[in-house]
Amino acid sequence: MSWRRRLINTIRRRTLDRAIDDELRFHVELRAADLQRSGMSADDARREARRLLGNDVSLRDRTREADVWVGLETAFQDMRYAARTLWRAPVFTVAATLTLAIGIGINTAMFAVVFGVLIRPLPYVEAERLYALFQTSARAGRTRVTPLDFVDLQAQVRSIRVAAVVGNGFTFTGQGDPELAVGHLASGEFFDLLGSQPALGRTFGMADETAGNSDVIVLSHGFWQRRFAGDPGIVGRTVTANNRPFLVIGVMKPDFSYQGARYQFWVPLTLRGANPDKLPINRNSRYVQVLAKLNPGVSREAAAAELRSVAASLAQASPDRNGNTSFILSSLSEETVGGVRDALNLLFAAVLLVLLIACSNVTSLLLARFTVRRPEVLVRAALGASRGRLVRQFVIETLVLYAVGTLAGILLAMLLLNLLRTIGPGILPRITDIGLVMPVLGFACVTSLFAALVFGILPALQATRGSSAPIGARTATTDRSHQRVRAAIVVAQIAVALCLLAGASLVARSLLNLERVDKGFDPEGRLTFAIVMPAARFPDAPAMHAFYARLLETMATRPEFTGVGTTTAFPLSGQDLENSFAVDGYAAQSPDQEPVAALRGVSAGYTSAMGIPIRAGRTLAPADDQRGAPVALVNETFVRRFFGGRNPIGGRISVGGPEGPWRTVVGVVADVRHRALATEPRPEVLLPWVQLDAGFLTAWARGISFVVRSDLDMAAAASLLRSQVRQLDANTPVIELQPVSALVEQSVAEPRFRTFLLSSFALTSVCLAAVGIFGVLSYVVSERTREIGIRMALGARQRTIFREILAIGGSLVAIGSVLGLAGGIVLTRWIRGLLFQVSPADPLMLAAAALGLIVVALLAALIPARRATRVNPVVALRG
Amino acid sequence: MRPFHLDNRGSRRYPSDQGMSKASPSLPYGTLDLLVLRTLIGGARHGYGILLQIHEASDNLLRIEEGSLYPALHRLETTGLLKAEWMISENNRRAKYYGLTAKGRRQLAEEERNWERVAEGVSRVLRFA
Repeated sequence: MSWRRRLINTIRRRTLDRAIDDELRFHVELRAADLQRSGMSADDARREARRLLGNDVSLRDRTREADVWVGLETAFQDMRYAARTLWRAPVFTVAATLTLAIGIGINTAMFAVVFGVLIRPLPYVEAERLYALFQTSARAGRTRVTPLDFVDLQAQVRSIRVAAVVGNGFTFTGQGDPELAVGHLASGEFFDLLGSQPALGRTFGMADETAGNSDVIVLSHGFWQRRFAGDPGIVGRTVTANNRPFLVIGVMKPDFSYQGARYQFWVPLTLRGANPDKLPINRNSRYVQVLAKLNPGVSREAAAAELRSVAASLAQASPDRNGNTSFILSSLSEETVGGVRDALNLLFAAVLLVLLIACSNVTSLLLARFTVRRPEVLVRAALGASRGRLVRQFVIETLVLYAVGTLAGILLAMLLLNLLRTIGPGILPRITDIGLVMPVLGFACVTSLFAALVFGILPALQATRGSSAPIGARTATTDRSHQRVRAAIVVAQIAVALCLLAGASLVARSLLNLERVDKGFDPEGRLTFAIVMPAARFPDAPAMHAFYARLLETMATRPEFTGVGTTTAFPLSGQDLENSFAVDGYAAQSPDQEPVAALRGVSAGYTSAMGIPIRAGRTLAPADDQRGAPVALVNETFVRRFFGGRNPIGGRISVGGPEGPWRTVVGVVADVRHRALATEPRPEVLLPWVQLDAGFLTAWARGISFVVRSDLDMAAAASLLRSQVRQLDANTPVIELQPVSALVEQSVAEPRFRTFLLSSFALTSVCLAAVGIFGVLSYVVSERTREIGIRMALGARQRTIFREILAIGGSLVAIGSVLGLAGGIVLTRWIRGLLFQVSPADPLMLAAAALGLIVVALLAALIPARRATRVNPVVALRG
Repeated sequence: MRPFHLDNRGSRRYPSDQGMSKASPSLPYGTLDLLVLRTLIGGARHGYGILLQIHEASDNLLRIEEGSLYPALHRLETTGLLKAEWMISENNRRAKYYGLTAKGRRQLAEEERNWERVAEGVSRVLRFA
């Protein structure tokens, strides 16, 4: 109880003071009355009564100390005092607060990103038990699963539950313009595994699958709002997609998404028996994504072991297709955010270093400031303040400063996060999960409290050192010990800033290399777009052929288009399909050397429309059609890997197995960076699209991508080709229409974003370090004004003084740079994974970073050095 | 006989507050608290009343340093041994009256026992040593 009463008394100080005064006054009055009764005069009695009570100020204080929480009360006093002192030194306060706000602000913002993207569990029930399941084989690496393998796996596996998911585009017609939306075909377990509840209606489940309810649809909240205007009666209505009626059974909540907001609806997927989407059901089309959830109490290792045995039994059942195949699990969160983890960790480490520099700058400022307040310290020490008491006061002043800096930093973080929300989508996953939530704010507060204590104790100790020294002792030179501390801080700052700068320059160099890498095609002056052929209207390959042929023909007649082509997998679009091949004359030494290559169906004009150079032989010709001989193009990597030294032209390859049909290689095309600019090209085979069989065509249900080369400006070319498509078929929407250069842009957006952030952080740190060196040298000059004055009066030349000050700065920079380079070489090794075609210890980049930093630091040192030469001996000596 | 001065030495919180009454013989720590608690057994009193009562009851043998009384009262109040109330005094003024709490009574009983044991021990030593 006592602490509560003390707390109340501490807070209600004025009330307490008045009560004590009243009580003591009452005492004095009674005593005086008694004394008067015994014969004293009124005045004497009053005086005597006071005397007996003793020193009333001291008594009141001692009485009060019994009532209040002394530590807390003095802390309040110190805070008030600190606020007053800071208020009276606005330049210092603003400089320190800004520095802290920058350090804490970018830290908080960055932590919000790390927390939202990497730390927060995915927004599903028991998300830690969710995994993505892949099929692996030595030949093809990690791939999606074939439909029949999924069916068998699901029937056999006991330790996990699995759901099949296939992304697909559906054309919605009926209400308003025809629109192509991307959604998921998902098996009945899908919503159950995620544990997600709808906002309206219901989701579909196993019951729908067994009852054969394949014509139901669940809409995403965004899609419902946009296309159906948020119609509250949508559940129970029928919508038309791909010319099929779907019964709307539910709408998901606004925060539900799976693999991003791009996927806007969910439709049941049937892999047993005929499916209305005409997906190929076989053992070699690996297009099924599998979501897996560990059953309660099952460890990942146990599940992996069971998957191995299931794979083995599948291989026994059908040895032709499942040999060498296994299933592996990868955590769903890793699949979602794994791509940005390294970059985010690097950026977070970088902002911690920036915070380190910012805090040390504030420490340096505090050191200088507390030194100026030395007389105050000495007076208070002489009046009996203990060192601990003085240290506490300085620490509290630092805490107040950090508190203000933290508030400003959190405001800055809000601004930065708002900025991120406008530029982030498409660059960062889970962008909607990023925010200034409680744990993030807690992190900001704890970090700055920790920093305030660590970085505040040093100046406080320094300021109160030897507080018994005589007051007003005057010497020409002053105590240098705190200067040594500040010099050490500057050296450390330079070193850290150089590490950051080195890292940033390597990442920047990587970006440059990435942008300059030989892509294998020419993105300039080219447009790409896609149309999707709804299975219901184009049920078979001939129907699709007819439509594409007509479209290609129409466009080829327009003089505005100098090239037109199609492909089943556009570079950098994320579409890819790998297939096994047989190569005549190539014998694999081991199973993992069996020929596997990415397979594309392209039109005759594709390579020239895309600007892909032909290295040998010829490209595809219109004559290479169903009636012509089967032919193929291969890329350089394919030639290197599977033709050895032989001439590939005229060589024979076969999709699938050695039973054929064999295709003749008629040309070699340049390697295209298909998956990402930073990914090495893989073996690739280009087949005439018209020679593909119906199974392959329907497997690419998302559609065929077009490339159009035109000298028109892109907007004009776009509207022209839209009208061309519309003339041909008004119900076929043009989608994903964009310049090819935009795809390239997109693929470098994340590296560019990360480079931009890291460079900003590095530049911030360089600026802070420059401010640091400027501050220290300015202080050196102001402290040595008297000494410099004397020397100049004795004939020292300005140049000598100038060089001397610059030399101090120069030596600090030199030591810092050496340490920074050493640190840079060690630290940049960790970011090897983020570099592209540049070595972590690239001497050129390190030297450039060091040079840049040295120039900036010396520029910062110039100003105080010049000021030193302007010292007027007369003024200096009189002062 | 010279009176005992009960100063801060008699209170537990400020054992080192020296120089106020070096000339007088002093009492062990905690004596002031004990006397205050004992005085209040007959009912609530204000500070000056407690002072007079101790002087009177000890035939002026014990004198309390007035400067020590109030810090001691406030300490006993915050630790919950006393409860204080503002009331109208005999001369029609507002005065702060202190009274024993249940906790204070228990504390008093215990300290009385302690005191008797210590006093008995000390006097035995003085008699036989």
